[in-house]
Amino acid sequence: MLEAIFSGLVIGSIYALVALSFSIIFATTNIVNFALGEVVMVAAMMALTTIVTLKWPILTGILITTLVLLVLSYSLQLIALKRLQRVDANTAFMLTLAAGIILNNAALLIWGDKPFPFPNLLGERILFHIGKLAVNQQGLGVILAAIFLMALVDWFQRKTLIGKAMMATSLDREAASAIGINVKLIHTLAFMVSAILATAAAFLITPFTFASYYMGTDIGLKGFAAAILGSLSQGRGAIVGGLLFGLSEAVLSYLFGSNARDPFLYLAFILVLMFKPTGLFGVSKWQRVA
Amino acid sequence: MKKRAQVGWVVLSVLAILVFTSAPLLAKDILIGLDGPLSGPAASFGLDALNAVTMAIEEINAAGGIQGNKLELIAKDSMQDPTKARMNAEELVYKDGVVAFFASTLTTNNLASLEVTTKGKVPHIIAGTTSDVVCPAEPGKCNPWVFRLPILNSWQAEKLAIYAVKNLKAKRIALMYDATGYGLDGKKNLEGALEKMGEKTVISETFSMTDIDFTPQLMRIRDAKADAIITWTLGVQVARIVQSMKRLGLDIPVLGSEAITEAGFRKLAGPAAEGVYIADRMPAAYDSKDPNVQAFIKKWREKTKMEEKLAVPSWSVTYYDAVYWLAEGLKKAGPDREKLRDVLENSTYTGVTGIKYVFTPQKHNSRSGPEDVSIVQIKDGALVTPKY
Repeated sequence: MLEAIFSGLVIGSIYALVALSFSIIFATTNIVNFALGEVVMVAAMMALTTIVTLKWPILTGILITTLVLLVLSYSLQLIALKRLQRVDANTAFMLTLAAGIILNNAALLIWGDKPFPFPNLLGERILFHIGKLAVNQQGLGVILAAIFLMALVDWFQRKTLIGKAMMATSLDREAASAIGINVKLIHTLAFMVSAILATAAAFLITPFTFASYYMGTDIGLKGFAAAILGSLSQGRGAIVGGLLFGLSEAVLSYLFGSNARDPFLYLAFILVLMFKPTGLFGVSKWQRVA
Repeated sequence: MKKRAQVGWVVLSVLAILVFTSAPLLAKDILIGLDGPLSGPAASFGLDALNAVTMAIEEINAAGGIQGNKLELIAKDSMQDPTKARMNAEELVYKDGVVAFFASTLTTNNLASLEVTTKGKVPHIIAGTTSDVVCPAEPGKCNPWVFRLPILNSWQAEKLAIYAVKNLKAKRIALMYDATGYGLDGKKNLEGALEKMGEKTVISETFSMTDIDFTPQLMRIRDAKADAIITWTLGVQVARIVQSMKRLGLDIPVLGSEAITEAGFRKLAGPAAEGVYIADRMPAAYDSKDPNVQAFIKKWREKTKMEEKLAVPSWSVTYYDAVYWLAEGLKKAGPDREKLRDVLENSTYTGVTGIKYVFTPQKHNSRSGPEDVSIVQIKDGALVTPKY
């Protein structure tokens, strides 16, 4: 059981990174970035190219990948969502979806259709035992790296001035604008932070899933589901949603077998959304009617 | 001057018309159609098939073709889309007028094109798909236009079950299958095969193709004290399974269906794939002493620039054999679809690796049963004949 919890937390913390990535963009711009799964995929393929194909040092690979992803995320915002404030939710939804399809097809053209093995950069050695559970470097590394990064984002949002401006924008865009916050800049910043989180998720998940042009759909979908479960507009909620989603996937399939897992999981999902449509940790905002 | 130029033009165009219209009368190409996943996630299967068919056709044409007529291949890509497969078949049958049709390596696409080829009365040749549905093993149950060269899934399952019980002496067998038609079909066949021997599984675990981590399922298998795992899914998933087993420290034999003979599986799983047993449609070609086999491997390597250690995909061998078998039929029947069907129905052909394909009006599956399935093992990244 302990092992199921551990492996659930490992995968869950990667879901949490993606969920937080979704929520940061949604909170500040009111847009669900459906291209996010594909952004994770591009990060994985870039990591593959730099570290495996070109054999660059790992740190250089991480830096270059992050850089490319920042540029990609910025251009995504620039090209597709430049007139962000005036675009309505449906248009933005279509725009991100289209951007995702373009990224997916571009990756197919560049990297081809075969999945590639990706090295486990964290090491396989078993560190210590807790009862039957053998804690290895990879598992613990994934959890620690994800938690560190998420804590950093959380601290940034709550303690720094820019972060507070981001929070303010997510609470009320017009009021934030009225008190002199550059909302456009905040939007860009949200896309940047989201790109960094997506890159981290890519590095952590690819040793499990292999790198392929079609990996983005699955991780994007699961991250989005986790964000909905926790809260799409609250960063901390999204994180807990991700951990909870991974944990319940693992524990449910361990206890009842994977045949029974999905019905249980999605029933719980429906119940949560029925009684708490904004997610487990969501707060409903006042909506202006006219 | 002007007039002479005009006359010149007229002569030239008359000549041109003569040349273009008479060309088909002089040498008539025999058209063969092929549909398969030539792009997308399953592309490796389709491209391996296409390579093999082109290679065989080039050789046959170089040796004089079919009574002086050249074979010409029209290949179409249906990716993983059954609708596309159906459209491709319609084009090939009605627009291009092919004399024979190589159906997709993917079962659903294969089935989607079957209705078209049957209606259009074109021999529907299966060299890839091992699914029972497209041509059941029971005598006379198969569509009269369908001809299948490779083994069947149910035979693979039976052979794997026998091998696990008799050769590996497994007493507590676990199953792991994906939640697609392929996986569920495998589960049914494996359970049936074990039951025939008076055995049953200790645990059956499933997963969806989108699952990232297989640890929970493998922990259940470990807790059930299984001593062998038979998997029924594709290469990427088995690669994830054997890697998760390694992380979990679960060290028991893993067996799998023919789908994981593909090189991609060994590449993805790396050292974790070592020792995996696979049901294959032919004995391991890599360590074969037969000079014909080695010559074929060499030819294949030159054509596809394949790495030294990787075996020729077994379905490529079948596609290659299928073209030669078809050419023999065409030599007897000529490019007439119905005559060709009648000839193919009463044909025997021995392939490049020594496999004997036998067709009778009652038996449109060329192979006979589980005894035609070979077990190969992964050793140092190659497919070899296992010790036991």
